[in-house]
Amino acid sequence: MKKYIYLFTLILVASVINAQDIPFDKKLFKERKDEFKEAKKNLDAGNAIFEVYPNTYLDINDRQYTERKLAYREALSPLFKANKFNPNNAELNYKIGRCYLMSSVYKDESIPHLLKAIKLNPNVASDAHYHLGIGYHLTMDFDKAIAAFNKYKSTLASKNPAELEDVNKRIEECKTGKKLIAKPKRVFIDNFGRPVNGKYPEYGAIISADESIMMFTSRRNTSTGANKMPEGVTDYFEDIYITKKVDGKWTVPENMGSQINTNGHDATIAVAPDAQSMLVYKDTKGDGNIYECKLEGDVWSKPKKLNKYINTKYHESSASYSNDGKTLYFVSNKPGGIGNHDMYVTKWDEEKQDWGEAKNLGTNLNTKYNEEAVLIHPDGKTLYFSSQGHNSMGNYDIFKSSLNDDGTWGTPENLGYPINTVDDDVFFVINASGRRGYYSSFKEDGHGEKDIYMITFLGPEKPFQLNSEDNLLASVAKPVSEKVVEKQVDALTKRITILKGVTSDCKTLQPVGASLELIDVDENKTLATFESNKTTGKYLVSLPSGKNYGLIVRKESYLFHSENFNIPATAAYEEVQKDICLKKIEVGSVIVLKNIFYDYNKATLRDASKNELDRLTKLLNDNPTIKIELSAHTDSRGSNTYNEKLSLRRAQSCVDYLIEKGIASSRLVSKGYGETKLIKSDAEIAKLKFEDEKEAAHQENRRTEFKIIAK
Amino acid sequence: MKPLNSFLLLSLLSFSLISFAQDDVNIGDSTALDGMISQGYYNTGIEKFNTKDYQNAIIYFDSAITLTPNYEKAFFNRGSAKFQLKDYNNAITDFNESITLSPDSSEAYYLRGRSHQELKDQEKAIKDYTDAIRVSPKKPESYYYRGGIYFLDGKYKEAITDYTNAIKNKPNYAYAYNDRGSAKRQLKDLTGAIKDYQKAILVDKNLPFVYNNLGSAYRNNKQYDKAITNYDKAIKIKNDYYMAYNNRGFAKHEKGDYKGAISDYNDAIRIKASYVYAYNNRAAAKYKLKDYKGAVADCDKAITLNDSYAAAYLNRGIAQEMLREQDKACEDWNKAASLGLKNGKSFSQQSCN
Repeated sequence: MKKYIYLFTLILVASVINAQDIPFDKKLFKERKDEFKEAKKNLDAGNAIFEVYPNTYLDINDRQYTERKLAYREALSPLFKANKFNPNNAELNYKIGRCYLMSSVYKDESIPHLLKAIKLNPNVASDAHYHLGIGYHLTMDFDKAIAAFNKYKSTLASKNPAELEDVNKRIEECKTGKKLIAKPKRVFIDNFGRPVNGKYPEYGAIISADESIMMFTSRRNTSTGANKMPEGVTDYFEDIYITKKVDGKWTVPENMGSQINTNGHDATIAVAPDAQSMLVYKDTKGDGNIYECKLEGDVWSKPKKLNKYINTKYHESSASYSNDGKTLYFVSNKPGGIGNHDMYVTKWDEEKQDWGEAKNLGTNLNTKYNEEAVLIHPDGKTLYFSSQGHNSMGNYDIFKSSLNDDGTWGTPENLGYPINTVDDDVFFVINASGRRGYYSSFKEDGHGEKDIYMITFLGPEKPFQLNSEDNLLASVAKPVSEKVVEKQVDALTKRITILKGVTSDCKTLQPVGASLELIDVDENKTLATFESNKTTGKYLVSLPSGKNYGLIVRKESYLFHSENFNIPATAAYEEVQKDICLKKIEVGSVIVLKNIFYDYNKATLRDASKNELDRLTKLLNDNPTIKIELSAHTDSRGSNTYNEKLSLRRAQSCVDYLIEKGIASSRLVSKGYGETKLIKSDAEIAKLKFEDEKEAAHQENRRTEFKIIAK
Repeated sequence: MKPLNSFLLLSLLSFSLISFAQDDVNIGDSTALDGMISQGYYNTGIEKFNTKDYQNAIIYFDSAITLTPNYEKAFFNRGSAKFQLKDYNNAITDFNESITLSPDSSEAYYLRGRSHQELKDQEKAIKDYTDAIRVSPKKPESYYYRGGIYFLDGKYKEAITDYTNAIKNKPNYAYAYNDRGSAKRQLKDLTGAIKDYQKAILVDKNLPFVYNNLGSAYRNNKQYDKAITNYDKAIKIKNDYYMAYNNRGFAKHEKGDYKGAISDYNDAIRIKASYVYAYNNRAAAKYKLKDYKGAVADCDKAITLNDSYAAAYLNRGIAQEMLREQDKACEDWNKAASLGLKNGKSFSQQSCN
């Protein structure tokens, strides 16, 4: 009889198709005692790990989840070995399936094991269909996932509202996933490649608005403190690395050094659009806080913890500067929020010179699930973030929301597939033009572990232009081509201008650090102030479209420099390089006053000009000995005499204003040069190809300037 | 051949479209005799004319004019013969003479108008047609041809008025229906255009271009199946009608039948190897089928044939982008922009650094 049982067992073991649940009972494996012993040992080791954790996923926090993930990955190896010995044990297959669900890349392997487990024993576990659903969900087999979740729902005995809600959410996610995948976004997703990505994990890429600088987090064997790690431990601490784009190529990333990187975890959070300051994450007491460092010359300052309105004993994980540096968005799981991790906003308090009280961003953006990785675009009105809520297609998805005119945030929009997947999609950054984004992902074809990937947004499909012709006129042999009305394409790019350059001394041409004041010319108010880097003179200002901007550059003992950028609301993305040199206060120095405006063909000063003339008044008051010639110039259009008269009257208007402000008339000379001193000659203008370029050249000729004639 | 006895000829006088009733002749008068002889030459000229022997017709008319220098109808008919021989400048000289002698000759105005039109002097042509209409308001051709000038000048409303007058005076004027349909189409009145093309077909069902035009009007109206049916008919009548193949391909493309479109473009190219539109359009269909390299190759060909073909640059750029050749794409879009395509600029702004 025993012999028969053995034979029977063998047949069972060998046959997969007609398999039955075979327990790990030594009686069944009498002839393979040693192997059985080994397999049982492995099984027990695996099971032990399982027993540590409660069966449910609900009500566990991120840390517990990560712990479990690592433990399950650890359990996979012994369980797998036990399964090799006895592949037909339902419970073992079920557990292997669950372990695979926690793996980084082999999630699809969970499905055959879970299917087999259910086949061997339909009652193997009450949540077998639930996990099978997750397996299908994670492999984007949405219909099967929905079927499995529904099956689980129908067998849900407890009707626990939390469990029901969870499975319903997953079903919704699958439905969203189906929709998003049906209409994929036009993007290229490329591994960022070397020299940034290597065999260690790289993630958390942050970029300056012009993408000239990237910082990222990596756990490398060269990390600060790596040499102090216990032997055999390869999970190195996080350090921050920096790479720069030089001539279109990224330099070999450098460790940001001991000022910033410590023996503990140091991770990137955000960098200001001009890359003159950055936010880093430190976790010294296990609570997670946000620190700020500034680039002083070519040295990054030691990170300084942000104030109590931002950092609490809870977990602050991500943050983002607004383009003017006056608003900070951040994420915290402090109590009193809407969900677990929520997004908050705080404004810079000019009086206290510190951040003010923080405000929750509200239920439009925050859900009862987690929000993470907040990012405000340099356009000041698009907020990107990751969320497990809203219409996510699974786990974290990246969303964007636009600021409405009334100051509220619009309904978040899922960025769509393939940017978002069923897995976690977090820590996404996007450049100023909106054409490129960066995020990290663990893909099979990567360089190893997590890698940084670049997303190129192609925008809506660009329409081809087809051509046709017809014999429209019976008596005319020559066909008539159909006039093509060009199909309008939605603008993909952000409506923003990035203005960048170097401030220097006009004579020595050496870079100088200067202060830059951005003003709204029409409203006559300061929008933001910046400092250019004192070593490199570099500055970067983002100018969202739809304003008449004035930029005033100042430095002590130099004349102020004035620029005007009138950017219509419809202006598409542009990057403008504007190097500005400052002139010393000395005889002969000439400054063009770009923010002086007259009524058309008249000498009347517009209100918007007064700010500029007030600056000139201040200069004259601060330097009571200097005398100036104030001159106006026209473009070459119109008659010479008319232009000369008009320009003289305009110059006189300015002089009159200055006299009215108390400047002695003996210090002022008005001159009307008409079209005699053109910056761009007619010949030069004639060579320009486009009308707007020609108009800009004429605009450059029409100007008001002052020259120091005595000191 | 020498001129024969004018009496004989007189009896042989034949009437044709351009022949005219002759004046009475007083026998015995020497000028009258000259007149009779010259009339003989004249009549032979007409005979030659009617057998399309225009060269000899001109010789007889010459003789008639030599004998009778103010022979208005001889001038007119010589002008007509020269017109037939496409010698428009000399035709005009004769018509001028004819009109000086008889300012109310609507035919002379009409044909001088045609001559001016052939010489691309649209202004003079319009003036002549208008004079012809003044003298003979019922002559449909004067309206028809003046309408054509208005059409080519983009004055579609004026063209429609003229075509309508042409049709009023000649209800089976298929050409006028066709052309009026086209003018309506240019004014985006697709329903009106379709109706007119259909009327043209009712009058004459053998004109391939009318089916083609009807197809295109349907295509503009997004009625792709009807468009394709009409292109089919055009091609059935004229199987080397490359334009209709290209248009049918376009309609198939719009319908989403990219493979069918490619097959039509292939045929158009087989008929006319230098047909740039078919290459350009085939590129679009290939792009839709994700054959980006094929799309680039077709645009290349189109550009080789016409290096200022803006659409081909624009389209090549779109395909280059998908091949990850961003620099080439941007170069193409900028070129398209410099050739006047707004999308060239907008794509470049969108996707180029």
